[in-house]
Amino acid sequence: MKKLKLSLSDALAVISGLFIAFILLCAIAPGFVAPYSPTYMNVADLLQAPSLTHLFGTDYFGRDVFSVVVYGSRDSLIIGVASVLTGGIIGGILGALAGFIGGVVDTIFNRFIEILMTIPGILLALAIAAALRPSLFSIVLAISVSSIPQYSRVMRGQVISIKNRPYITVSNSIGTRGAVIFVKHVLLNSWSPFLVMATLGLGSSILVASGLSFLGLGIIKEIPDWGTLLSQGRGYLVVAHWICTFPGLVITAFVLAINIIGDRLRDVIDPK
Amino acid sequence: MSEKLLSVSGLNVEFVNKRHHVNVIDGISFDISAGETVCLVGESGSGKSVTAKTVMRLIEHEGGRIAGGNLVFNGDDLAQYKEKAVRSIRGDRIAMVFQEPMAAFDPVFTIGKQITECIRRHTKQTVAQANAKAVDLLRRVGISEPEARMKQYPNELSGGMLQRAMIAMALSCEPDILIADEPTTALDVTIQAQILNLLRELKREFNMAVLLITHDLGIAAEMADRVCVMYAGRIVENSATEAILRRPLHPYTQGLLRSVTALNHDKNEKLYSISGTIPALTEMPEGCRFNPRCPFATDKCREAEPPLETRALGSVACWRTGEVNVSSLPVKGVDAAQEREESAEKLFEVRNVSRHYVARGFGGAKNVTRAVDDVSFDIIKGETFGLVGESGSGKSTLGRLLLRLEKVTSGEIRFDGRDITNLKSGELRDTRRHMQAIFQDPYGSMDPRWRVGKIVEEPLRAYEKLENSKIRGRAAELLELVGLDRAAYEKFPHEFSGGQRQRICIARAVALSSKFILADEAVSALDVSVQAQIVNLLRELQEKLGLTYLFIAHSLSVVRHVSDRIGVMYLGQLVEIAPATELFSHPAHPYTRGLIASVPSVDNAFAGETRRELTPLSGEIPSPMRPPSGCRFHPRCPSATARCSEESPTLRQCGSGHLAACHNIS
Repeated sequence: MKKLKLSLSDALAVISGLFIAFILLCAIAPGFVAPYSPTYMNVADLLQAPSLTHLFGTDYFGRDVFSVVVYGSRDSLIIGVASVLTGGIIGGILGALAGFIGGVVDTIFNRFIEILMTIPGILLALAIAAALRPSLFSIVLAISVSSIPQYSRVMRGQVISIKNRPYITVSNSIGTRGAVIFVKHVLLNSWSPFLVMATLGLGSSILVASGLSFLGLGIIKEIPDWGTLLSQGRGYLVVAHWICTFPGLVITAFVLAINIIGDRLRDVIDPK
Repeated sequence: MSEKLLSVSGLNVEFVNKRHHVNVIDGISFDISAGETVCLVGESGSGKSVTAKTVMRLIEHEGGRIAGGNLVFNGDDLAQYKEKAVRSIRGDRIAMVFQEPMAAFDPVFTIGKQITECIRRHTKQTVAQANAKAVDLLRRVGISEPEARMKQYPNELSGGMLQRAMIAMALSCEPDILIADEPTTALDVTIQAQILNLLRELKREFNMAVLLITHDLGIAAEMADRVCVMYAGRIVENSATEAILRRPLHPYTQGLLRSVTALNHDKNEKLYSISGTIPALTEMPEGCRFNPRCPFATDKCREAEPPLETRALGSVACWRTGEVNVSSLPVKGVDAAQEREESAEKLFEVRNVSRHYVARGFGGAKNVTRAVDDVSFDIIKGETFGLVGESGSGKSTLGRLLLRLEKVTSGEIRFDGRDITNLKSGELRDTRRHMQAIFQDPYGSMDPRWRVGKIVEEPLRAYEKLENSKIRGRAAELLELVGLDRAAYEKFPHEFSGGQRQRICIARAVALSSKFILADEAVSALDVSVQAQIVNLLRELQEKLGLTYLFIAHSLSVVRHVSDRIGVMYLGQLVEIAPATELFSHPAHPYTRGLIASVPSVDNAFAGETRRELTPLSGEIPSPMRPPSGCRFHPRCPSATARCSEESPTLRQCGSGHLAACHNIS
């Protein structure tokens, strides 16, 4: 029984990895994967159901949905990666410093984070995205600010637990400077759960970005990202469900794949 | 002896995972009769606990598997039982007491609930009957106000109390065999003595057989009828206790017995230690498993594994039984019994130092924990000052105060003539250079992601601006100084054994040629044979480098061996200070006397006609939040008078260099 489970999770990880690699390829070289140009409108083939010529069908402009999804992956990925990086780095540093310094700094930090947390992430992101002009930058900003609390709290907790390990006491008693202890001992030992969390965050960022686009706060461009595509297809849900279904499935599959890989990463880094 | 209750024969236990197939227990056999206490002794990694868990068939829950052999209990082979059948035996006929009482109880249920659950699992009783029985059991194991305790949760009881409750639970179905896996290792020596006494009484009362797992030969000597010595998954010797203590046959047993630091050991003599460490399960040596560490190994020992052969007094697995004797071996590098020059120069002067922790409860009510309260003493240059006391006595806090890892609440600490009580961090760094520390858990004391070389270099890099090559060279020298290979430089801490890790920590502590080293329980977590190696190393380094130690430990015999002078702490106060030998030959304070009497000892166990009873102190150390009035020890003191509960005694002279805080000494 146990053996079967192991190989199953390995197989899942391999499939997930391949899928992520495929999406990456789409983002880097969409022309290589997509059969049509995303802007090519074939008026004769409006709202075609999925077939061998149009894998995901066509939309109301006669565009090939599969090609649009392939081309849209770039913006979606950029939003995901950029917001994880900014949110993760800012949140991580804030949380690490608060945990390490402790005392008043930590108290102030906690109150600040608690205020941020009382506002639902998607609502905060909405507010930011609405206040700024819709652009790639404002979406990334919105998502990263709303994800700061989760990153910083994980980092803070980890740093506090590392800070109380005996080897930190030893370093203190040796007389190693605080900054050195922070960088070389504390950070080095706290990053692994953080890395796993960032991986998982990539999936949720893409979800939030899709949500924002869906609500109409996305980037208005020729080539829609996944969320915008969903939003645009909404009006045709009854007559041509495939305009929404397939991008939705791709988002789900990608987030799932990221989560599976994140879990595997945790197993590899922390064998406990 | 009466008929065999449990007969283990040819037992093999293996652990299998993807990469490894490890034989943890390799063909061991022993018997237990009704009413008999059998001790399994050996170093960690020898397979003692695995054996105990296998008898309970608990090993399957940890990924182990019985690969062969029989566990015949009352005529039935437990090894063949299905899990469901085992459950009806487990807790009913065979019960177990674990090492960590705190971890063995479920924190969300009351003590009473957990004991009655066990009773009702195995017998048909109503809740009321089970409750009445549980109360009886708790009273029997010496728990006061058992009705009230039934309603309490595990975190509301002390470790000693919980272990009593655990024993009560184990006894609830009047088992035929009680398995106790290191039942007192997590407890203080005074509580340990109480629990051991309790186990003895209960054994007599219920005519139980007891399988006691311990690493402490002293406990085996005090408790066992028969001792099985385990090494690397095999039994190497199995004899009646007295025989094994007086005439051990296997070189490993002989070595273990010789490495035990006894309370009457000659302090000037080095401790005997078995060289090396127990082999990893995946790298078992050919032939006799002990041969790489055995001083008498021959080619035959390296080729073939000796069988366990029955001799006159017991059985032993050694090719050279009768020919060899470890006690004839000289101890390598006997100290020349150098009397250190009597210098009166003080390295540390501690005056009226206190450390109080204030916790605010509801409504601003203050709870003051007096971890260290008004302590004064000196540490003289070049000496080893030992500090003993039960846990909660404040010894570790005192050590941390001296290193300024914590700030004193009041009082003054002078180091090398300089007041360091209120130094700012910059000046403190200059002072820290001269004081280093070694802690109990060597693995925890090292950053697991750093290589050993870098770990040893940390103090050098913190203070000295040297070129990389010079620092590297110095680190390699240090590793050699503590008896490690230069190749250790590139390895990670997890690649070493406990003793080797402690050596690395020692190398780091002496890297800056500091004057003072705090050794806080530095050898407590190590096996006896390794403990002796580390103690010898510490003393050797003291000679070579002129170090001063503050040696904190709860093991009295080790402290006695390494220390020149010893301070005894109780509830945050120093109650006695005396030269080491004087303290043990003429303890003045009743607390010190109680501590000494609680130590299980190989030598004392069979000194008299009949085996001695341990005479432990009664009660437990009170919470430092609510210390008793007057002399803090008076509620536990056998000779307390009215005065003791009113007036707090101060340290007074009662011999040359001997101070004690007690009203009853003249």
